[in-house]
Amino acid sequence: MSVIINIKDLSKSYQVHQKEPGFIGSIQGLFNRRYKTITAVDNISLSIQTGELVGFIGPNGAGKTTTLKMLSGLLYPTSGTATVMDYTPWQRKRDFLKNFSLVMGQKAQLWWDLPLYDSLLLQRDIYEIDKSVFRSSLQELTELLDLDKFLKVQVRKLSLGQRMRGELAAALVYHPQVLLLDEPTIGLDIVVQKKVRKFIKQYQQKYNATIILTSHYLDDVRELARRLVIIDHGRIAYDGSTENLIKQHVDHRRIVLTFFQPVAKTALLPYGQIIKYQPLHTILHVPRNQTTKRAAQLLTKFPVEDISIDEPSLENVVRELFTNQNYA
Amino acid sequence: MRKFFQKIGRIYAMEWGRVLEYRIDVIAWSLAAASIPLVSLALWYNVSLQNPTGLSPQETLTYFLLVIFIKIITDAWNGFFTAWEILNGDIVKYLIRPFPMIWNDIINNTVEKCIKLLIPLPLFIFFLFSFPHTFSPQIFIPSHWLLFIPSLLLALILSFTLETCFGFLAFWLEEAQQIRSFKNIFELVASGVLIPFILMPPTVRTALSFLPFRYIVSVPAEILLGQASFNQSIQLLLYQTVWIFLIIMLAYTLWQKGLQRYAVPGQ
Ligand SMILES: Nc1ncnc2c1ncn2[C@@H]1O[C@H](COP(=O)(O)OP(=O)(O)O)[C@@H](O)[C@H]1O
Ligand SMILES: [Mg+2]
Repeated sequence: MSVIINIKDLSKSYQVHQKEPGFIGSIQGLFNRRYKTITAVDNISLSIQTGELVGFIGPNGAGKTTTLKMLSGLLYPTSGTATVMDYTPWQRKRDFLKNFSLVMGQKAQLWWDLPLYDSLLLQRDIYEIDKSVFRSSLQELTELLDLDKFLKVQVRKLSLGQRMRGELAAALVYHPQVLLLDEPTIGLDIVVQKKVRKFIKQYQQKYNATIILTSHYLDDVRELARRLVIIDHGRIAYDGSTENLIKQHVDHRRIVLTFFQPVAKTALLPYGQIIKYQPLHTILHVPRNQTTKRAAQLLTKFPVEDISIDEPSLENVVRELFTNQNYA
Repeated sequence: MRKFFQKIGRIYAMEWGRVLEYRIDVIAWSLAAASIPLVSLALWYNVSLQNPTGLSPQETLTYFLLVIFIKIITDAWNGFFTAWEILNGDIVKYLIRPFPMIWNDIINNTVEKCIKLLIPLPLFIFFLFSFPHTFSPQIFIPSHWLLFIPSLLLALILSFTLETCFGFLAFWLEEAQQIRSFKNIFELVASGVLIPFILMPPTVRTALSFLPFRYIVSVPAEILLGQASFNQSIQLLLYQTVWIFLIIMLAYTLWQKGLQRYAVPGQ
């Protein structure tokens, strides 16, 4: 395996024009522009191997899209370097553009006034795909994404989910080596989300493509990516496998209790952090090495009808990472 | 090269498909394009009937009908799309593919012009040959056409590249569309659509000749109507070429500098 994407000390700040509200504000703004600097990506370094599927997750505004825009050559960084397939993306060399693809929400290659099929033909010519390769590629995409029902329909008449599948088809019909997907499942219903995820996985396996996928849905990442990169406030908060994340960062368990008689909140306080409290149903957060001891105590002291001990979910881990600033 | 033409051909085919979806609007646009020169024509035609020292009625009529055509052929609106796409981030779709964005604009521009000429051009030719005496005799001199055609082509390129620069202003200014609108209004005066250059006071005329607009509409008309001598015509063609060169350099610089500071809004 070889490194295909290499990011070193990459940063990006935006200058944002501060506009006072209203007409007077606009007039003032004409003469006296005030700018604020927002650091969207703050000195990140990362290297990705050929064929990896990496999930970028993080809350809104974390800097995921900004990172992908730099890797696509759309944005010049404020400082640092990045190479993708040995090219510097923002030089926008032809051979770089021919071998990578970016899918960013709903705004991409499709021509709204024409059928999806026309846009795919345009991709065929722009990316110089052989006719026979195009035919088999189109057939494959049609099967995987169920395109046949709407291939000949004007794009503006398609549903959101159909359009997203169309965008994916346009983005992949020329078999890019590097694929950057920015929130590919946003706004889609569960069934289509599943379909899109399955498709991405199949594509990656078949072509050994290198994929970065951003999402703020954990489902996307959990199902697709073995490697997880968590970005928060423009920095990498975690880079590794999902299992490791849980092991490394969570030294806690959750004790879920159901009582047959109401129990006072204050009585439970000594046994752990209360995550959820109802007189008959409570969840406690306890250090892992104390779990069995506490559970035993709870069983003897309270009218417990049912007790269970849960592994923390990925959701919980990530939420903890975002609220707790002193992660390693 | 063959692959290049294949791409161009594909975009042409798609652009035709798209424009045909909007065919009714395009006819309306060609009427709109003709309306301002027609109003000018009515006005100046009256003036020419009452004032024997200026342009003759034939010359006036010929000038403004020509202006309608020159205007349709040289009109450029690509800056509108460019500014729009820069400001909302849609330009991304062109930036990530290995083919220059400018071709989409060139193709859109030429296709819509063909449609816009579909009705006025045959009408004009019909009138020209049915009622030759209503027109200035200059328009029937073949050598004038030999100079007019290149001048028209240069005017078209000049207008297109100038629009491109105005579109690129959106990399710096959110008000790029408003600035474009001012330019378009100013262009009506400064290119000879409202007042023929030959009727302008000499100082105004000289001042406006330092701007590119005259070379977009007035110059081809001046050449065809014999208002410029052969030597003057050659000189005008040269000026057009120099303007194109300067503006392409400017457009290229704006594009390079613009991309470097572009923040890609949206998403
Ligand atoms: N074009 C832009 N101009 C100014 N600020 C921006 C721009 N794009 C993003 N930002 C800011 O940069 C930060 C990171 O944004 P983004 O990369 O879109 O985050 P994410 O994709 O993780 O939600 C946010 O604070 C956002 O407001
Ligand atoms: Mg984002």
